[in-house]
Parts: sequence; structure tokens; C-alpha cells
Amino acid sequence: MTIAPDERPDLEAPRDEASTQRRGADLFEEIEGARGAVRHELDAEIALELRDLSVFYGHFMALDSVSFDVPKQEVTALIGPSGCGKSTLLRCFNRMNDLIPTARMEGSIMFDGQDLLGPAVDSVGIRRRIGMVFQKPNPFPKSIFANVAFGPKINGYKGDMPALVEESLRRAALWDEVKDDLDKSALALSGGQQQRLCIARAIAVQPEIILMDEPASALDPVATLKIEDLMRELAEDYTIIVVTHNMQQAARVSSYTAFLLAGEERTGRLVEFGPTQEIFTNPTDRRTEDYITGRYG
Amino acid sequence: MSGPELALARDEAVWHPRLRARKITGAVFVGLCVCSVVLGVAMLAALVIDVSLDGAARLFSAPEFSLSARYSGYALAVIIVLVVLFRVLERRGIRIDGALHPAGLGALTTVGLSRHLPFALAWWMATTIALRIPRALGRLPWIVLAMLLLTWAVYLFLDQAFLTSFASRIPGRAGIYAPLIGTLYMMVITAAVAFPLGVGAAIYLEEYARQNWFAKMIQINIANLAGVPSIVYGLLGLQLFVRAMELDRSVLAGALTMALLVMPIIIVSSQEALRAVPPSMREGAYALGATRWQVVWSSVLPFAFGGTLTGTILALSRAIGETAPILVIGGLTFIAFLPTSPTDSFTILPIQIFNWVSRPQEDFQLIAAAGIILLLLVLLLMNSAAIILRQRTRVRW
Ligand SMILES: Nc1ncnc2c1ncn2[C@@H]1O[C@H](COP(=O)(O)OP(=O)(O)OP(=O)(O)O)[C@@H](O)[C@H]1O
Ligand SMILES: [Mg+2]
Repeated sequence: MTIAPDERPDLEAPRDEASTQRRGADLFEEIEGARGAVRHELDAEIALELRDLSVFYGHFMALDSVSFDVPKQEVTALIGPSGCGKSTLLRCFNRMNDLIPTARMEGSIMFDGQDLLGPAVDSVGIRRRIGMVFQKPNPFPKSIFANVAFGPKINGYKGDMPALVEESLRRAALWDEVKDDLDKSALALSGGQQQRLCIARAIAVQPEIILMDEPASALDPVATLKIEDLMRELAEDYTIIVVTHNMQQAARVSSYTAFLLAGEERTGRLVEFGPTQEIFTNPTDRRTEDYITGRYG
Repeated sequence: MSGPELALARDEAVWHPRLRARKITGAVFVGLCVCSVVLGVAMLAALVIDVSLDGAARLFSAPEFSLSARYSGYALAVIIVLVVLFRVLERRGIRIDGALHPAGLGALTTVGLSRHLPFALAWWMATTIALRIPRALGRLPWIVLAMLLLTWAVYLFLDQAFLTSFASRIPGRAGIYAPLIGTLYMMVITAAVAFPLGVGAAIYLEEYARQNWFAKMIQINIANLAGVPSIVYGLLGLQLFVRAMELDRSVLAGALTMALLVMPIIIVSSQEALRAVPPSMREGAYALGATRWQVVWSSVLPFAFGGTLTGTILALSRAIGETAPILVIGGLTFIAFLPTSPTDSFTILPIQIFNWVSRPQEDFQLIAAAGIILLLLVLLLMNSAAIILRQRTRVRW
């Protein structure tokens, strides 16, 4: 990689239209691992279909009428300034917002022919099919094996547990580092290893979608790159939705990008959704450009 | 990195999520936790009534009440059986462990055959604890074993007559057998009653209850209960257990009174232990498709268990020195037999010591001093157990 993940475009950049546009494109070109796939419309299969999704915390409207389609077996990035509702949106997909007493959701998210927000949907069952990896690695203070086996166990997995654990750790690119001490406490691992363990833990229950909320923000550049490689690899089998503050990261790993922005009243809205390359090289909205080139907070 | 292997796990046939069963299990356990809280509140109500209304005695001693008390006793038994049953069911019906572990049962029956029920119970608990928690606690089984050996060694070198003789008018023959056994017996029952109820109540308050004014009120009152003078609990025990439930001056009445005394402390310390488990542990488990009860049972409780156990031991070690409540409910001071069933009368160490101290003969003062040393030894043992447990189970997040 030629670009450090935390390097950002110069904030003092000239503001004329043409140069801004070029900078976005340059940024995209410069990034080696960026996916070249140009898709003008969603010809991919659809994993999640958001329609007029609004989220309230008590009387405060955190998200207003968000609608877009999340493609299957691709990486979709959610970008936007702090507080625009990215985590809120992500937590709708596996109904984690149910755990916040004041949170209320309106609209619909169609998943596999059913509305995720409907009353008939069982949030416990949904969370097995839509997994989540958190910003701060949160392994259980148990052995590495027990961490990965936790999900399958509570979900009544009857198959070969050691094989499943090994396979999950392999897929999370952690197996070679831990295969000799599966009985060691997960807390003894490094931060990057812990985060990959959390990914292995999420994979172990065989979800269809994996949600990641800034999975690399607590990690150093090398560990970050490992997680990014992992995301791209996992996208062959899983649908991945990732929240990130890092434009390079979004460009490197995702094939689609959704840009959210909160207005004066702090209510988040979807500004633009499309193939990552287009969002970065030829955004239709001026605010998207500004954000990508570093003009927003 | 290849997909095909994972097909083995993607095949739905190997997954048995049993959502309904998991939810029902959860509901049953929550029900039990709610029972604990209800009991806590009922206890509070009883305490208020007992202390403030003079007519409490008559109110509770009404014949209808004692009848319903008997039925609630049966209900309690049924609940306990259910807890055991569900615990076994949850573990898929075949694997029986915990307190029902074959080895634990074996120890119980072997020692039980010697007709020393208190010893049998103590042994059983020691064995099951040693068998159940080794993974979480590392070397705990060895510590338990070492403590047992140490006790045995001390026992060998002690003047055994003092430990194995009953009270006597002749100082040279007086021993501390009956109060020692009485104390142990009572404490075992106290722990068995207060630990599950206290932890259950703490779980409910901490993990389930909505944070509204009612929950806050209960919370404050439980904290206040921890500061109520022990003699008040003695009065409550006298009315509730000795008179209304007609348990008389039995070990059971004493143990239940002590359980009331320690429960608030256990609740408060367990709540603290639960609160110390970071929310990210709960979120992590929820995100893997755990039901609420599974989250509590498998990703909160195990990490708070050391804390709850430590709190319980410390609470019990406070109770062991309490004299007032047992004096009030009528623990005897001079006893020449062992309690063999929970309904027998009994005495405890501090009462016996008090009795000896109050005698004029100088030899009895010496015996009282020996008794005090013994009491302190027991306390020391319990407190060091608590400290060791806290060290062993501390998780650095
Ligand atoms: N539990 C909550 N109760 C009330 N308001 C909340 C809650 N969680 C988030 N909010 C509000 O919702 C808005 C969106 O928050 P959210 O965490 O989704 O932002 P974000 O885009 O993830 O920000 P960041 O990039 O800093 O993580 C914010 O204004 C926040 O204050
Ligand atoms: Mg966030």
C-alpha cells in the first residue's frame, strides 16, 4: 500500500469545482486495492431494501426517510460526519436498537421477503442471520475457542464444533496465529487479533450479513489493512455493511457507498448512494464532494 | 480461503435454534428472579408492619396464615425442584452437573450415611464447588482441598475433647461441639436460601427492571435494609418463622432469619458485581442471537460470579457473629445434643460464648476465650476464602 490509511486530503485545498472533482478521482485512482467494478445501477442481487426508514430516540429524529438497496455479497460503506446516524442506521439492520428503550423505528427494511421492522419478526432469530462486529473489540473473557464457540452453542449448533471453530478462525485470518493456544484467554490477544477474533465469532453462526461499525478505528495501520483484506475476502460469501470515517478505507474495501449527512436539527439524511467509484469520482451532490475531499468535519 | 468447507455449517440441519424453548426457559428463570424481588419486597413490608404495628403478632399468627404459610412452603419446594429440572433440561437433558453432579451426590451419600447431616452438606458443597468451577477459577479445587487438609491437621493437634464435647457444668468437660455444629448447620441453610434469592433479585433489578420510580424505590429500600439493626430481624423472625410458620426455635427458623439479615447485603454486592460487567459483553452476546436470559446466564453472570460469591461470603461472615437475632428467636444456651434435622433446636457459637462469659467460675472464662478464638478462626477462614475468590475471578477488562 502506498497510502497510509489515516492520511487525509489537505484541508487547505483550493476550492474551485474542477480541482475538487479531480482530487476525488485522484484519491480513488491512487488507491491500489480499490475495486474497479463500475456499476451504474444495482444489477447485483439485493440483500436489504430500505424504504423510508426513520429512527427516533424519544422525540429526537435521528434518521429521516432513508431509502436505498444494499447489494448482496458486496461491501457497502456508510460514510458521513460524526453524529449523522451511521451507527443508528447500522443498528437497525439487526434490531440492536430494540435494546434502547427510547428508540423507535418507522418505515421498512425488507430482508429475504420479510420486513425486519415488522412486529412478527423475531429479533433474536434475526441477529443470528445478521451478525455484528463492534468498534471496540469485545471478546468475552474466556478462551479463544470458547469465544468462537459461544454463538453456535447458544444457537443450538449440533455439528462438529472444533471444525466450525477452526474454519471460522481460518476465514478470519487468525488461525495460524492462535492454533496452538486455543485455550488461552482471548484477552491476551493484541487489539487487531481481538478484532479478528470478534469477526470469527460473528462468522461462526453463519450469518448472511455482517455489520461492522468502524471495525478498524481502534487499530494500528497494519492491523487495519489486515481487517480490510479480510472484509474483501469475506464479501465473496457475505454481504458486508461497514461504517467508516476513513475515506481511503471506504474506497479500498467497498463497492457501494452511502453518504449520510445531518442538518441543523441533527437529523441524519441520505445524501447519495451509489457505486463507490462513482461517489468518489463523479458525485451528483456537491456535499458529497465536499465531504470526500475533506471539506466537512 | 475457500467457501465450500463452510457449507458444512451453512446446512440448516445442524442448527437447532429452538427459539421458543430458549424463550420459555428464559421466562421461567426471570419468573424466579421476580419471585426473589417479590420476596424482598414482601420482607420489607413485613418488617415495616412488624416494627410499626403492635398487632403484627396476632395478624400473622392467625390460623389461616399458618395454613397458607405451609402451602407457600410446598410452593417453594416445587420451585426448587423446577429450578433443578430446568437447569438439567437446558443442558439438553442428558448431561447432569452442578450440584447434581454424580461425584457430588456420591460424596453426599457416603458422608450422609454417617448420619452427620451438616458435615455431609458441607462436604457436598465443597465437592460440587471444587468440581464445577475449576475452569473459571483455576486452582480453586486445590485451595479447597488444602483448606480441608489444613482443617484436618488443626483438628488433629487440637484438644479434640473441646471440639467434640457438649456443654457441661464442669469446666473441664465443657466443649463447643453443639454450637459449632449448630453454627455450621445454620450457615449452610442460610447460604442455600439467601444466595439464590439474593442473586436472583440482583439479576432482576440490574438486568430486567425498567429504571422507573418503582424500581428506584425498591432499590433504595433494599440498600436501607442492609443497615437495619440485626435485632429487628430477630423480632421479624420471631413473628414470621417461629410463631406464624410454627417452626419453633429450630435451626430452620434461625437460618431463615439470618437469610433475611444477609439478603440485602448479598443483593447490593451482587448488583455491583453485575454492574461491573461492561455493556459491550451484553451487546456482543445479543449480536450473536442470544436471548435475554442467555445473555444474562452465559455472558454476564459468569463474569460477575466471583463478585457475587465474594459478597455472599462476606455477608455470611457478618451473620456468623450475629447474636441478637438468634437470642430473640430463642437459640438455647445449654444443649447436650446435636441438631439432626432442620426442625431441631440448636445453639450457635456467640451465644455459647456469651453464656460462658456470664458464668462466675474462672475456668469458664478460659473456655470462653477458646471459643472466641475458634469463632475468629472460622471468620478468618471465610474472609480469606472471599479474598482468594476475588483475586481468582477478577477480570481485567
Ligand atoms: N441512545 C441514544 N439516545 C439518544 N440519542 C442518541 C442515542 N444514540 C445516538 N443518539 C443520537 O443520534 C444521532 C446519531 O448518532 P449515531 O451514533 O448514529 O452517529 P454516528 O454517525 O454513528 O456518529 P459517529 O461517527 O460519531 O459514531 C446523534 O445525534 C446522537 O446524539
Ligand atoms: Mg458511530
